[in-house]
Amino acid sequence: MNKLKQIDAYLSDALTAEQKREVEIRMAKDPGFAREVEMHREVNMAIQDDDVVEFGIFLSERYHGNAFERTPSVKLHGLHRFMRYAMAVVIVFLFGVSGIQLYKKIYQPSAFEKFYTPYHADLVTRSGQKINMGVQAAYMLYDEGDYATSSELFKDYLLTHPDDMTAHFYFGLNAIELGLSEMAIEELLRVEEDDSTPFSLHARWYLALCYVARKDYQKAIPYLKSLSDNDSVYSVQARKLKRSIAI
Amino acid sequence: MREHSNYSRDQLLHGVTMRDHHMLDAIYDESFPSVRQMIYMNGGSEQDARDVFQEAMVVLYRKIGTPDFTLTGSVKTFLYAVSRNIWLKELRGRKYLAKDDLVDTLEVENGEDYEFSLMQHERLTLYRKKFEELGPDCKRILKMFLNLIPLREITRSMGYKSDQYTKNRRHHCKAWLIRIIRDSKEYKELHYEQTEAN
Repeated sequence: MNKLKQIDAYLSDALTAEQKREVEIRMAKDPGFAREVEMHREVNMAIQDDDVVEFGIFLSERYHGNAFERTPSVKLHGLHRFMRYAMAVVIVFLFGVSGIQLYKKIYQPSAFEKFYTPYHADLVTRSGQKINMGVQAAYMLYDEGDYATSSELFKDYLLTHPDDMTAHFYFGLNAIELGLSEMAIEELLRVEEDDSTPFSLHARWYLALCYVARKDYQKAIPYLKSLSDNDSVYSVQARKLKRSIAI
Repeated sequence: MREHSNYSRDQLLHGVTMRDHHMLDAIYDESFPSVRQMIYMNGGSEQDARDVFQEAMVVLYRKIGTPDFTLTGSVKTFLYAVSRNIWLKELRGRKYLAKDDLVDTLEVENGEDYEFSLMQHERLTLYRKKFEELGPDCKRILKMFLNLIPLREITRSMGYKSDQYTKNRRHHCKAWLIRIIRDSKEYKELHYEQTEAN
């Protein structure tokens, strides 16, 4: 067994007790070899570091690199809501009706905030259908709002089920909730392009919202147009959203 | 231990892991100003401060994920100390100053190995960067092995003819990855710095 294979086998716990002991003795005697094992261990960690990379992207997207110019969250948090109401009361008190109009003008929520609602649907598993427990848990966690854990489970599941468009769709929805719009777009595009999935229509709506959130209206408009041209559940909303972003 | 107005240290750390907006905002509100001040006072700009602080947040996130994670000081101190080390390194790179010249805005307690956390973060970031340079098949196969996907399933999913071929492919990919890491200029610099630090 060459050195690389030996280290890999050691780190993946694939050696016999005796072989493992041999490696450990060598590590104790040879600091260079010990450093090499440590390097391989860290390389393995780095390969599995998807969440760290995503966290960095998440921070960039949320804070735009600026701690005090945050991207608005999807939901209004308590303090922000309170501050807005308080400002409205002060403005009304000071300026009367014209104050209300001024408040509306200043604090108009973004188009994304106005139109985005999380997707919810009951996923029925028919009897006799083979259940993958990991992915079932991922759907449940999405429904419960634990988007980070759900996302992790979908990521693992998709490694072995890359053609499951339902999982891609929910993975994309999790990414929206986690503020990872680039990843959401990548997943939803995949679903949208597959006409055989019932989620293709929903994917188009959420894709349009992702582009609107990024203010990339040129890309959002074709989706909104196609949604408003048919009688889908999104047609009315799509028309309204298209009007609201029209320059 | 209650360190921010509303949250305990454990709540904040859990919030970082869960990417909870309230907790992250609380950490930024509490910890960013002292880092910004330190960077302003040591020749940096607002943008430098934002970049450095974000990097320190990623170091914290990575540290929380390690199995033997412990934090003896506060989140604020950790972020400040790591940011300080990042900025020192940047200044040395720009050949601006020696370590003792840096003006501090917060006292950093001893006890935590901030430098180790940062050095490990730098190594892992480099390894990840080099991993991203591999071809898509190599990346996929290495990930699947580490995610303990059964060998037969990997062979099937990759469309390879035999399990033996999959194993050989994986070893070639890993060997190639180690080689491009070792051959990189960044690795040599890091290696030199870390030997110096020891």
